[in-house]
Amino acid sequence: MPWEDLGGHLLALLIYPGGLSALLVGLAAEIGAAWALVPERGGLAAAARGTLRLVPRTAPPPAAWAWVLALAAATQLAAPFSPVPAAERNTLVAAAALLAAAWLAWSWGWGRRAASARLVLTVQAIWLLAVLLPSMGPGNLRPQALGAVVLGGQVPLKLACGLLYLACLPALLMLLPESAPQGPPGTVARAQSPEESGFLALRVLLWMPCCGLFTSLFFPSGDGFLAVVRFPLVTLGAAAVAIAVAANLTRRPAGVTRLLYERLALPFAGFAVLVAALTPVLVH
Amino acid sequence: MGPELALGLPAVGAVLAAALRRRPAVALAGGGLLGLAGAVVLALLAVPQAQSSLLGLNLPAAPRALLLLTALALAVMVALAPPQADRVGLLAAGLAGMAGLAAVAAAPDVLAVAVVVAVLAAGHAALPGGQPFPTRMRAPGLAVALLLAGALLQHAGDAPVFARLAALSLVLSLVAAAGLVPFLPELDPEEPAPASPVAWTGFFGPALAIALVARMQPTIGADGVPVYGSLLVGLGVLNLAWGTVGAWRADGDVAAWRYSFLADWGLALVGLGMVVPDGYAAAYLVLASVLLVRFPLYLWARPVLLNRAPAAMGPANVLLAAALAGAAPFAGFSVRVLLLRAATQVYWPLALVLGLGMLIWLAHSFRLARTLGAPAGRSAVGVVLALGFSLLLGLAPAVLLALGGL
Repeated sequence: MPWEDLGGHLLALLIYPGGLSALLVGLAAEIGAAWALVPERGGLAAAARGTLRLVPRTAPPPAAWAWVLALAAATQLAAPFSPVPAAERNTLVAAAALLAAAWLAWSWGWGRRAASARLVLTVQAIWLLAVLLPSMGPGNLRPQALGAVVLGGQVPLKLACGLLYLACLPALLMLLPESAPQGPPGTVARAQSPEESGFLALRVLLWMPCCGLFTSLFFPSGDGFLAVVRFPLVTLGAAAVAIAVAANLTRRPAGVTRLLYERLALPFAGFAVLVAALTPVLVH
Repeated sequence: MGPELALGLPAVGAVLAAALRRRPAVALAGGGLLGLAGAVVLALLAVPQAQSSLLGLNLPAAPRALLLLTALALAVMVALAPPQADRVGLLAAGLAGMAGLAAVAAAPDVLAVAVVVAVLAAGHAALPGGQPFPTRMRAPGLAVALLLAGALLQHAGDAPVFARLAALSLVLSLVAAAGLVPFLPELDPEEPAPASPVAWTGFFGPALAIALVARMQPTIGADGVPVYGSLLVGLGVLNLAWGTVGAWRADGDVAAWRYSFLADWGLALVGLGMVVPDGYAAAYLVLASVLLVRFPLYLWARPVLLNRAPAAMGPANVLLAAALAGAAPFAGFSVRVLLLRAATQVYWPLALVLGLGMLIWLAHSFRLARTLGAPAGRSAVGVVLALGFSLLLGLAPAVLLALGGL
């Protein structure tokens, strides 16, 4: 790899779209989530204070590796002006890095609080379908190429997969008690261990790659004015949807989350596979 | 970007209202404003310059006008909901429904329609309610399967039998999607209004049906039209008979209300099946009156239906009974005139059957009107508005028909 490419990747990892930008977006989203999910703890200022109080003072190894993986996933996004060449970004790399980061968190969090590995595995399987099904038609794994296919035959499939992706976001982002061994945003006042603090920080870093991958896969990208405005708006919109779904699910009786994913999202994933199979037959 | 905004703004409003559910005032204000913005964009789509779309979406006039009425009905119901009603839940569900219906109307192909209907139905079935999720998904799931089967049959070959089978499948999918006989979902009288099958049939159904018909009818072809028309008329008469007799003879008042929706839908199906302009206009008007009159009245009858208020039969209730019975000058009267005129154009004995159904209709109207009790406060304003809408549709149906491009 030439030195300038290496520099570009490093810049992407540490500054944009990873590192600093992921931290800023993640902090904003995390504060918003804490405010929406636990309103009884006060307004936005209280949510911000509570979130900033949890900043880790050390970098425990499993959490630090998970941070690197989350930021590596962010470098694969079709973000405007990304220093990573478009040809070198890959959806599969982003998906694998995000799943690996999640399972590093689970290596610490197994059996903690209300966390359910079965539910998370189900959601991850559904999410992988949502990420990979739209690439079948174009036969391409580059996020910007998939995002560009917005017209014609791919609309029904992208619609189904986009909705599946959004439905999976609350669990992937560890916003639900069943998917967050470190506790959902706003529920933890003080971290009990450096690892807990590290994995709370991991969630902050997951917002950008998880929501940004949604934008990259389902919306056209580019460096024009519209694309520059669209990327952050859609990314933050996806984050808002995730918070809204999580806020509704946490308000419901226990077990509803599992029902949602196992009885609703899983059959819908099967339906998305059917749509993928019918697309070449029904849409010309 | 007009169609995208018409679809996206209510969707964002629904998300916002759901996310801010624990702050009802902010949720209502934010969701309401975005819903209003979506309705304004829908209205602006009448101007050709506003119809340009990045995604190549197109919202035809007929479903667009009914979507506008859906927005109006939602605004009235949220603003004037009975005191115990969950207004934020109503707004969030309504805005999500509006976004879904706009997506159905704008969807570029049948596969996309099937995806949106599946999502819309799943979202509705996932609302907290009395029936289990699989039970609530039965009819819309079947509708999606039939829709896909119909689309596949249309691509199966040029033989007339495929066109006929496709028409059969598509009509059955329409009836299943609206939750009508023979795909009637189970009803739990205690169920919250947004999650009830009555909400599906009365609020989501009308715009969904018009959007589906606008999508399906042009693709059916000459060989399929006789099957399409006769099946719609047959199922329409079945629903009319089932609805009128059911509403009259039903044990509970909630069931009576639900059957009354079937009767209205029966008229709509007959109108659509006659495939003549008067029939389509009648169907359009009856679906508009379901949205603006019958469904809001059902919501305001809920306190009596749930035994929180006593039933009554005052002068206002008599007026309501007249409106629900389709007496002149209310909406039902112009519907009946148009429908009978269309029936005499197509096959005059059908007019006799319809006339008989309309006669039996009178029996249940007074029963339903009693369940509105003695409306006071917000409910009284709502009842007056519903009567006003009915009067407007009855006296000036041409305005709505012109809005719908008919």
